[in-house]
Amino acid sequence: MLFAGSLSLLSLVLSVSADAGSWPTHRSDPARSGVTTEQLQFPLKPMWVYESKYPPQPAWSGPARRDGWHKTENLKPRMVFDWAYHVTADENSVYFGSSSDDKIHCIDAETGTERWVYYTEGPVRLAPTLDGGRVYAGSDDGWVYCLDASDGSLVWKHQAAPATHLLAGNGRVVSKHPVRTGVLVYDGTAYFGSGLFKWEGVYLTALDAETGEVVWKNRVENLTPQGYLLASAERLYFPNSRGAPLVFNRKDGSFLHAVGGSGGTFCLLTGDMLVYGPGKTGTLDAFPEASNDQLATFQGNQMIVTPTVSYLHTDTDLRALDRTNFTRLKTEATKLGNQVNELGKQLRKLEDPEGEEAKNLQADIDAARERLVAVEAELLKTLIWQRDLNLPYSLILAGETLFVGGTDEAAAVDGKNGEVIWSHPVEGRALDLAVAGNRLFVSTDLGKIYCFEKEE
Amino acid sequence: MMPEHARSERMHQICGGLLVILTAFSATSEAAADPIGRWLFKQDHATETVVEDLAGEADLLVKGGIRFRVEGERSAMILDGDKHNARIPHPQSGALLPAKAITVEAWTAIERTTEWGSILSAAHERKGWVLGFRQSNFSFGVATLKDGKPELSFSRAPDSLEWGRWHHVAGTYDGSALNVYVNGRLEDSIPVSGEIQYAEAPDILMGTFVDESNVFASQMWVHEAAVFDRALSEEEIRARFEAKKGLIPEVFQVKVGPYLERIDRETILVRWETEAPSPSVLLYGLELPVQNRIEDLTPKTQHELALTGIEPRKMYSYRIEFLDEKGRLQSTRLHELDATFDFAPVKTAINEEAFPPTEEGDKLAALAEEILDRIGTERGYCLIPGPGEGRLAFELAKRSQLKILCLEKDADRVQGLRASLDQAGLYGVRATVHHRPDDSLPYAPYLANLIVSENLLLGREFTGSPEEILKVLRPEGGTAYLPKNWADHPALKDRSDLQITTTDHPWIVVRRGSLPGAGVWTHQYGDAGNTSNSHDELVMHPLEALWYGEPGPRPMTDRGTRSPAPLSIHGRLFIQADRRLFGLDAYNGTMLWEREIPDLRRANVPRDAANQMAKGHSLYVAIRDRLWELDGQTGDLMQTFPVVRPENDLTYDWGCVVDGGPVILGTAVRRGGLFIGADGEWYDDPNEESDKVTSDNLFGIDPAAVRTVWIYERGRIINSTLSAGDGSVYFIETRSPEAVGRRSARLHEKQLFTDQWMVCLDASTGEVKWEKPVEFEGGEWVFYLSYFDGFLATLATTQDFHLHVFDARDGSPLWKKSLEMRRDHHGGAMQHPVIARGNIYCDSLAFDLRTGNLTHENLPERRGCGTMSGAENALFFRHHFHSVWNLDTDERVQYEGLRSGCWLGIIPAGGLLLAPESSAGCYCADPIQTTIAFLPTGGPQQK
Repeated sequence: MLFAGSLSLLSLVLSVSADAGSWPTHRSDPARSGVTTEQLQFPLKPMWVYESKYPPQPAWSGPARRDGWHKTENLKPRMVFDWAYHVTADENSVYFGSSSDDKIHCIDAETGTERWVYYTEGPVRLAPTLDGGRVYAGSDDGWVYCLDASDGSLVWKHQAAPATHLLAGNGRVVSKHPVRTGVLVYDGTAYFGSGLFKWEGVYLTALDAETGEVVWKNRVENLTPQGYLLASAERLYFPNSRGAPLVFNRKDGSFLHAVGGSGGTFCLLTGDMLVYGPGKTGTLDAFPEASNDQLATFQGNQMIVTPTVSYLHTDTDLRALDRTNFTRLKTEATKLGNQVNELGKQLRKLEDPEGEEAKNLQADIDAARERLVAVEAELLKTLIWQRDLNLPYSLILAGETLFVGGTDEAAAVDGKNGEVIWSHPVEGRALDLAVAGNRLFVSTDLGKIYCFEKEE
Repeated sequence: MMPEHARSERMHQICGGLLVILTAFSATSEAAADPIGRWLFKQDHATETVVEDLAGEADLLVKGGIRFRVEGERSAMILDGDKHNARIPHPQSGALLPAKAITVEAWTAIERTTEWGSILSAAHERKGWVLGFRQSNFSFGVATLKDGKPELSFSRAPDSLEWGRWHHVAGTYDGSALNVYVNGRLEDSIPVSGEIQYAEAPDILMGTFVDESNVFASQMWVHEAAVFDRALSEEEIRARFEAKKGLIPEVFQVKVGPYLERIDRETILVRWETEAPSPSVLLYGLELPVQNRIEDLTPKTQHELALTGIEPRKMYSYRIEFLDEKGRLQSTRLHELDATFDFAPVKTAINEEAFPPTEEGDKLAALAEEILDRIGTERGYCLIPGPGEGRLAFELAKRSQLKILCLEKDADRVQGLRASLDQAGLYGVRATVHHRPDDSLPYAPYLANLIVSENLLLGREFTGSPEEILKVLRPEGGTAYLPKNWADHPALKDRSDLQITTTDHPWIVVRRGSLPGAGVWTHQYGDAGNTSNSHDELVMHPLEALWYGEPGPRPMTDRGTRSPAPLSIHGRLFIQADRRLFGLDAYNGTMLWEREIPDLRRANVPRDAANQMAKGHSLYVAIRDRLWELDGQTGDLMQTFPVVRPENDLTYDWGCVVDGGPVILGTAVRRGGLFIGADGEWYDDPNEESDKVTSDNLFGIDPAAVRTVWIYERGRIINSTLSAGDGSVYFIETRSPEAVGRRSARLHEKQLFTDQWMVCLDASTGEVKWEKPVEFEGGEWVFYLSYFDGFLATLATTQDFHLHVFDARDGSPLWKKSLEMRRDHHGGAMQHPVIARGNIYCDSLAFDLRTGNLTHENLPERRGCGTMSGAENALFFRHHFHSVWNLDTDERVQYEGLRSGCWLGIIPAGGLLLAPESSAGCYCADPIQTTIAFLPTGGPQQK
C-alpha cells in the first residue's frame, strides 16, 4: 500500500522540476532528486574551467577523527553543503554563490566568463535557485536576495534576521541569523530558514517570490537549519545540520514532525519517501514522507530514485536496484532486524529464562530470523547491476546516464548496465554535479567549476 | 662527544645511502632455544607475503604485503592492523595452542594503541591467549574455566607503554600464575588455574584484536615473536631480554619536540632541539615506511625544516633522524602529521596594481606599519569606519593577517570600494565592505582588535559614535584611532579601562584594558588553589552568542578521556586538543596560533593533574620531561625547563605545573605513570584507572633566571591535591614505605591512604611551614584538595562524598561532612568542588566554607558527564547541553543544541563564558559541534 502511489507521486515531484536544458536548483528540483531528463552525448570534452580566486571557505570542517567510545573510525562529515561552489544553470548561464568572496556569480555557460556578480555582505554558501528569470539566494549576512537573472540587478531583498547583528562566526563576520538553507521556490513562493541557535531565534520564512512580501514567518524550536531544504506539495523538509530533518507544513510553516535517523544534510524526496544521510558512517535512512516511522536503513552516501530503479552510491561501489522490490524488502528487513533486537531485549529481561514466556519469545525470534534470512536472500535478487567505483562524493542522473564524482575525477556510467562510458580528471574532490544545456558542470572543493560538452 | 666535523661526516655517510645494515642477531644468542613457533622479521626469512616459522610449520601470512623497516641492527615488520596485518591460519595455528602452560614473547614498538591490542593472539570467542595491550598497558591473557565457563584473565603492566619505543614483552602461564613481563621485569602476576581453553580452530593474529563486535587495529613494529609450550622462568625471560636489549637505543627522543607550525595549507614547519649538534633529517610520507627525505646537514641543536607541498586531507607519517652525543644515528618514533584539516589563514594573492603608488598611499602605508607595530597582533578584526578609497584596508591587509571590515555610509562608494578590494585580491576572505547609512555599528561587542579610519588619518571628515566604537573595541589591548576632540567625550572620560595616548596628529590612540570585574582561568580548576572559580563578576545568564567557529571536533580529544580544561587570561583562550594546542582571541574567536605536538597528551585528569598553566602572557605546558613556555600571543616556544628529577636511575616526566607566585611549581612523575588516553578511553569507574598519579618530588623554579629555587622530596605526593595560594603550597602525600617503594607512579587507594600527611610549604623557599598526619575515609574514585582564603578543603569519594575542611594556617581540622552520592556513573562520583561566595559547592549540596553550615541543597540536576565550573554569580555545567545556574536568581538555563564534554570544558573568564568544542566523537546527532563564546547581556560591560 505504501508504495502503490509512488509513480504518480514521483511524477508530481518531477512536475515542478526543471525543463530539460536547465538545472534550476540544487540537485535539479525541490525534491533534490538529482535527476534531469536531459541526455548528454559522448564523448565529453572540457570546455572551460572557472577558477575562483580562493577555494570555498566551508562553515564547518569535518567530524571528529573517531568515536573513541564506540571504536568507530572514518566518521562521515554530515554537513558538506558548502564544500564546493554548487551551481545551478540554464542553457546560457551558470550561477553560484561564493563563501569566499560573498558574491552571487553568473557566468557564461559557453565560455566560462563572468556575466555579472552581485555583492552580498556575507558568504553565500549554497547554490542560488532560478525561477521565472530570477535568481534567489540567501547569504550569511542574514538577507535573501532576488535578482534579475539577465543582469544581476536587485529585484527585492528581504532581511531574514529580526535585526542586523553581525558577529564572528565560522571565521567570518556574519549575521546571527545566516541563511544556510538555500532559497527554494515552489508554486510562486520562496522558502528558506535562518538562524543557528535556538536561544537566538531560528526562523522559517515564506515570501511571495514575485514581490518579496512575507507570506508567513515562524520562529521554530529544535531546528538548526543548514543544508538545502526540500519541498513536496504539502510539506517542507528542513535539514537540521548534523541532526535529523524536521518537517513543516508548506502552507503555513507549522511544525509537523521530526524525523529519526542519524543525521546529515544529504536529503532526497522520492515521491513517497524521505531518504537522508550520511549519518555517522555513511548510511541512508528512509522514512515515509508524511511520518517518522523509519522504513529502512542502508549503507550509502547518495541515492537516485526513479520510478523503476534506485541507484545507490557507497564509498566503493554503485548499484542499480529494482526500486519497488528493494524498498519493500529493505523495509521488511529493517523491521525484522528491529523486531529481533526488541524480542531479544525482552528475552534477556525475563526472570525465568527457561519458562514458557521465554520459549515463546525465542520461537518468535527464530521465526523473525528465519524470515529475515529469506528476505535478505530476496534482496540479493533486486540487484540489477553493481559497479566497483571509488568515486564516492556525488551522483546525478541525466537521461540514462549517471554521473559520479570522486577525488580528482568525474565519470559517466551507463544507467542500464553500469559500464563506465566516460571519465575525466579534475582537480580536487568532485562534490557537486549538474547538467544543463547539453553541458556537464563539475564543482570541486578547490573552488573549480568544470564545464564539459560533447566533442564536436 | 664526537667532534662536529666527524658528526657531519657520519651523517653524510647515512644520507648518502651508506647506512650499514649490520648482521641481525643470530638465534644462538637466545637463552632458551625451545620455542614451538618463532618468527624473525627480516628479509632473509620472508617472501613478499609470508614470514617463515623458524621453529615449526606455522608461517605467518601477511595481508597487504610485508613492509620492513631496517635501521642499523633493527629489522622489523610494520603492521597497521588494517591494511597490513598478519595471521597464522588453522590448522597451522594448531601447533601453537598448548593447554597446560605457555610463554609468548615479542620485541615490539607500538605506534598507536587501541582499547584492546594484539601483538600475537589466539583469542577468539573470548577463549585462547593474547599477548598485547589494553589501552596503553601491556598485558597477557589466557582463558581458563571459571564456574564451568571459559573466561579470559589478564595480567597487566601498571605503567603506560611508551609509544614508538622498543619493548621486550612476554607473558607466561604455568597453570597457577599468569605473568606479564616488560623488558625482562615481572610487571604483574595474578593467580589463574586450569587448562587453557580455545575456540574451535582459531587463527593466530598479529596486529589485530577481534572480539564479538569490534576489530581493534593497532599500529606497531615487530622485530621478533616466539611461542613456547612452557612457562619460562623470570630468569629466562630476563636473559632473553638481556641478550637483545641492545636493540633498544639509549636515546630515541630529541631533547625538545618535535612541534609543528602550519604556515599555510601546503607548508608546515617542523622544529625540534637536540642535545648535541646534529644535522637535521626528516623522513616523511603517506605510506610506511616513510621514504621522502628532507635534510639540512649543518650540525646544530635547534632544528627547523619546512615540509612543502603537503596534500590536503591526507595523513602523513614522519620521523626524525639525528646523531646523539656519541655520534650514533638515532631515530624518533614515527609521528603522525594530520593534514586532513587546517586552520591556516587563507594565502592571499595580492594584486598591487589595484592600488598604484600615490602620495596619500605612501602616507597610509607608513601609518599602517606604525599601527601594526602598536597593536601587538597580526591577526584579528580591523574595523575601518570611513574607509575612504580602501587604501588603508589594502595596506593593513598586505602587512598582516587581519580581517578588514570597511564601513561606508555612501551606497555609491560601496560599490567602488568593493571593486577595488576585489581587484586587489582581498575581497571576501580578507576584506569586506558593509554599507550603513548612519553611525551605528551592527557588530557584536568586543569584535575589533583595531578600529581606525582612513578618512581620519587623511584629515578628511570622520563622524562616528564614541559609544558605538567603544562597544565594538576588544578589551585587553584593542586599539582605536579616534578624533582628538573625542578625548573629552563622556564616553571616554573617567574610564579606568581606557588608556588614551595623544599624538602629534589629529587623533588620539585609545587602548582598552581588562574589563572591570572580569576573571581569569589559569589552571585546571580555575586558579592555583583549585577553587574551580575564575571570580569573574560579569558572567551569568542571560547569555548570547558572541562568536563561534573553529576548532570544531576534528582536532579535539575524544569526549570521554577527561582531558585538561581550557585556560584563559588576557583575552586569550588556550585549548589543548589531541596532541595540539590552540591559542584563540577570546573576544572574537580568531585563531592566533596552532601547534601540533605529538608528545602532548594528558588524560584522566581527575586522577592526576593538568599539564598546563597560564601566567601573564605565557602558557606553560608540561610535555614529556620538560616544561615548555609558549608565547600566548604567537605560540612561539620561548624556553623549556627540564624536570628536576630525584637522584636515582629512573626516568621522569614533568607532572604538575602550578603558579606558586614567585616560582613555578613542578613535580617529577615516574615515566609511564601519566595517563594518556589515546584511544577514547572512558575514565570513570573505580578500577586500575582510578589509581592516583603521584610525584616523587615538588620543586620551584624561577623562570626568569632559569634556575631551580628549591626542591622538596619526601613521600609520594598526590598530584590531584597540589594547590597553592597566598604564598604557600599545599599537598597531601603518603609516606608509607609500601607506597614509596612502589615502582609505578600510580598508587592504589590502599597504598595511597596509609601514612598520609598534609603539608604546607613556603612557596618562595620550599621550607616546611607545617605538616600534619591526616586520615580520610579513602578516595576510591577521586581525591582533591582546594585552597581558598585561609581554608583547605579535601574531597574524597568512596561510596559517598567526604568533605573535610582545615585551617590553612596550621592544618587543624575545622569541620567535615559526608554527602550521599547522587550517581556513581558518568562522572557522578568524580565531581570537583567549586568554591564561590564563601561556599563550597559539592555535587548536590553547598556548605559555608567557614562553618560547614548547609547553604544550598538545590544544586541543578546535571545529567551529563562533566563537572562544574564557577564564577562569582553563576555556576556552569553540562546538563544535556551547556548550562548556567544563576546563584542570585536560581535560574537554570540550558543553551540547547551544544553538547558539552565529559569534564571541565566551559569556563567563565574575561567577562565571557568560553566553551571550546568538547563533544568530539559523540554518537549524538546534536546539530552543531563548535567552539563558542557567550556574552552576558545584562551586565555592566554593555557600554
